[in-house]
Amino acid sequence: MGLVLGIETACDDTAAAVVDDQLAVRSSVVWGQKQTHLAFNGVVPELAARRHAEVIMQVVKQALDEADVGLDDLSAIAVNNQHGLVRSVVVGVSTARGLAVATGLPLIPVHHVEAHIFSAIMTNLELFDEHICLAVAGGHNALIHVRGMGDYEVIGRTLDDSAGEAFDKVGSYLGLPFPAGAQVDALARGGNPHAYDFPRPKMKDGTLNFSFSGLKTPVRMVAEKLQSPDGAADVAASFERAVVDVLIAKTLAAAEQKGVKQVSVAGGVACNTLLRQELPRAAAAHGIKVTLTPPKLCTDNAAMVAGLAQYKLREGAESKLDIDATPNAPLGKRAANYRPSQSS
Amino acid sequence: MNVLALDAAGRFSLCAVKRGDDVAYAGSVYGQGAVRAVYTSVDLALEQAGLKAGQLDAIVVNTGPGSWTATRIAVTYTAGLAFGAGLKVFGYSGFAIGKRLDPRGVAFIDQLGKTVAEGAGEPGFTVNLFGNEDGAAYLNDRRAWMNEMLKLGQEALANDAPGDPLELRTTYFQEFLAGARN
Repeated sequence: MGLVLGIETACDDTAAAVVDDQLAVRSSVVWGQKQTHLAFNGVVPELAARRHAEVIMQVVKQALDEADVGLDDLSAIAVNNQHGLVRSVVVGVSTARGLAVATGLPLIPVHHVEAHIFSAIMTNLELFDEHICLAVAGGHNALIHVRGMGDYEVIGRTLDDSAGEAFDKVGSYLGLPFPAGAQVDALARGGNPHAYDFPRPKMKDGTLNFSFSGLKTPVRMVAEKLQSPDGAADVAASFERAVVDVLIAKTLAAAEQKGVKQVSVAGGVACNTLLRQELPRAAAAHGIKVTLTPPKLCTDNAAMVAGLAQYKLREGAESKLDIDATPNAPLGKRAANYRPSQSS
Repeated sequence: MNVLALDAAGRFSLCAVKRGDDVAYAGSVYGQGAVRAVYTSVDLALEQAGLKAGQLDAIVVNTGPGSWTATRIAVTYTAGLAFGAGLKVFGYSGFAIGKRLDPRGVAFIDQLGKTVAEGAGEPGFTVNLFGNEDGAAYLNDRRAWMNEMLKLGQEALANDAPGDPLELRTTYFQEFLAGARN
């Protein structure tokens, strides 16, 4: 049974995981940095890189310990070297390369967004076939036509902010600490989604692109006028409804355009309660099946990196010690149009 | 005793490998990216010394101050090497290494041309981290420095210092000035 150690440092989560050749997650350790970035209402790249460097070896050791394995039990080491904040990515790459050289294990480089796509496949193996993946998080927001593994076309992307960024910003307007996505979600559960009629940017523009920057301003104007914290839940619920309406409309339009009956959702925003409730319901009305990635595989993690490497090894991938950090690498052979947003 | 020393704080990544009485030196410029520069210098020095990472007894790394990203890469790369090969890794700040060469200490000129000195008084010598664009001359200038790093590693081994790769940390100018690291 071949085990792969995955390492992931794209943004502000330091992660390591061990995944076996049946794609079972033997361990998955994620070391977050909420406290580091709290005061800045966003991720500070240099600080993120410093924290990664401080904890990466401990995270790797913990992942091995929790899987009850040693380096001798591994068959390969995998690392995201193709997406994220460059200062953060180099920490994972240099650590993984050091481990690979020392142990003689193959080093498998992977693309962070492809790993997110694969996190849904780890949940539902039917997704090895053609499908649409809505990859939505703080650092990326894209609709990807997955024709098969390694054959991707980004058919929609955000023109400015990702949905995850919008959640974080709206959270700050409502006085919630960064990162605020999960807290906006929780707050929204007690609010009225119809209290405010916020715009649904680009929902009917005929493209598959997103734009969430323009949604933030009306939300901020309402939030600033709130007389008491009591109204915050209505703002959160109405904002969330607007974002989810757009995500659902664009995703279903993508499936229809490509004649595809399978959809997956991956990335941190895929944890959102309303999206997880409403997308399968709306898709079912169109005869489309939705695979929701489990929350622990939605946010940045290394299990998806190790899982994707398992697939690549099975397909004959060879060790690549001559790797570098290339955080703006295009996704797959058909995705030259894809570029991540500036913040991650 | 086989020891590897790595210093990526300046304009080039420098590596020295001591095998018995012989020392192999290698340098690599950051032009193709700091990650590649760091591991290329290590690969070259090991190759010249005729050693694999697993045949080392210890690793020494300059933890800074200096280039933030390249130093961080050097620190995490050596931690990975040490953890993977079951070696000890010893981190020393540039100030600690410099003080060995001259007890009065060392001053560094950073990329902004600003001098950052240790403590009060006149330092014994100055290292211009980013000033020398000639790789061979840079390496030549720093041979004594790299040799001192190798000696530090040998002494740490002899003293049975912990050298835990999980505890290896980078040193930053600001933390030094604030007295956070020593």
